[in-house]
Amino acid sequence: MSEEIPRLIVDGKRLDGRDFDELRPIKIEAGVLRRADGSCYIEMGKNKIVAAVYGPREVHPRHLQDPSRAIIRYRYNMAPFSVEERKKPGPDRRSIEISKVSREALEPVILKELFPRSGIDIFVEVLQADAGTRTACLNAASVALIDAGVAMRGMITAVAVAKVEGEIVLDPMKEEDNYGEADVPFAFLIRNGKIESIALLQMDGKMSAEEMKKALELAKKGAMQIYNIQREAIMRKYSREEEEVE
Amino acid sequence: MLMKFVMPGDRIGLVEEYVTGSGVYEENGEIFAAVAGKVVVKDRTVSVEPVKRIPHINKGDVVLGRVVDVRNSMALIELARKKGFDRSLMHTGIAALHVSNVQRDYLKDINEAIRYMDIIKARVIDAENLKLSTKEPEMGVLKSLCSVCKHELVREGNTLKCPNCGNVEKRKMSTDYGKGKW
Repeated sequence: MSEEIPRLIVDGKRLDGRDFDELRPIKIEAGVLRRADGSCYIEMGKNKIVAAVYGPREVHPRHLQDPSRAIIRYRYNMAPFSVEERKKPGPDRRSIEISKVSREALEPVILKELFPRSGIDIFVEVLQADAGTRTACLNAASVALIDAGVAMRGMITAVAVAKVEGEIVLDPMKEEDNYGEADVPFAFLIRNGKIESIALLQMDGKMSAEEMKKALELAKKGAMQIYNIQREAIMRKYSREEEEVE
Repeated sequence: MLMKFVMPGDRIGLVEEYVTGSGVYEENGEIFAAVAGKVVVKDRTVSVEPVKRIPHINKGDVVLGRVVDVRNSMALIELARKKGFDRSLMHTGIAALHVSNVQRDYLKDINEAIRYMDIIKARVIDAENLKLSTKEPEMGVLKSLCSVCKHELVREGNTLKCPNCGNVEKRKMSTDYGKGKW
């Protein structure tokens, strides 16, 4: 890597002209797949992601069944054409880890006891990746689960925070992720319009305790904005369905 | 009646106010929505009418299934769908159809009415033990295969005929037999 590191912050603005506490443009649409029980398409900046939820349905192989509650399976996958250099298809260490932590973020939120012996499968496909795909995927999965009518304690909303040139910034883009000093994805459980707990927390890079606290505050602010967009996406889908019934 | 759209996690009220119905859950004396949908209060019971319903098998439901085993007096049926839902069941349990519930008239041998691999439409008469009945005229076999050559059987009056080998068989047929719908 002999390339020169580009300036990431100029005159208090980021590369794409955003402020430090500004999200990339977000677009969420619920119920985009006909064959899935619940689905969602999300765009967060240059990220383009589809999430599909199947179930509660029969679990195969049978030995995975839990007689008292549902099992949750989550698969994060990147399309070969989603990144600049073609990615070899199939799971790798990174996507297996993301699948695991994302599943663990959603598991305590889903009311699994209502669906004994069954399985809920969540698939998220990254069609185009920028940065923060795992958080965007969680946002999509959360909306898709609601679209599927799966009972949940609340909503999961995720957002990443990064440290770039010593500044804490919200929702990093690819350049900030690549050349920044730290990257911290968060996911929160939001209930009754309030952030209740952290569902996912990862960090890569170097940050002081003070910076971490600041990052958390920034992430909470961003998450509330995303939460409102998620709600709106469900509302929009719902009102359309109302018309169809009438 | 209250009509409000809620999302999972939205607080609906206190346990002192309502009885918890479906689509809601209780925590620390408060009632929250578990699904997205409309809040419905009926007889002090609060529930959320979800945007998409998940099929649960209850008594009286019409279900679709395939015969996976025929015993002396029982046919075991693997359930696939509940009528009114285009969505897989939570767990495709094996339901039982007893000879006494196949048809109104006396039936000595269950093989006279139902055979292995038949697709049947039936009514649930016991949701806990998954017991079925095909006594109604709409209930019964929807599609069956010839026991000699495995070709699909075609309805001919009250019997079924194999267009491939000419074999004639009897079944407790549904009025929807061979129509491709149920």
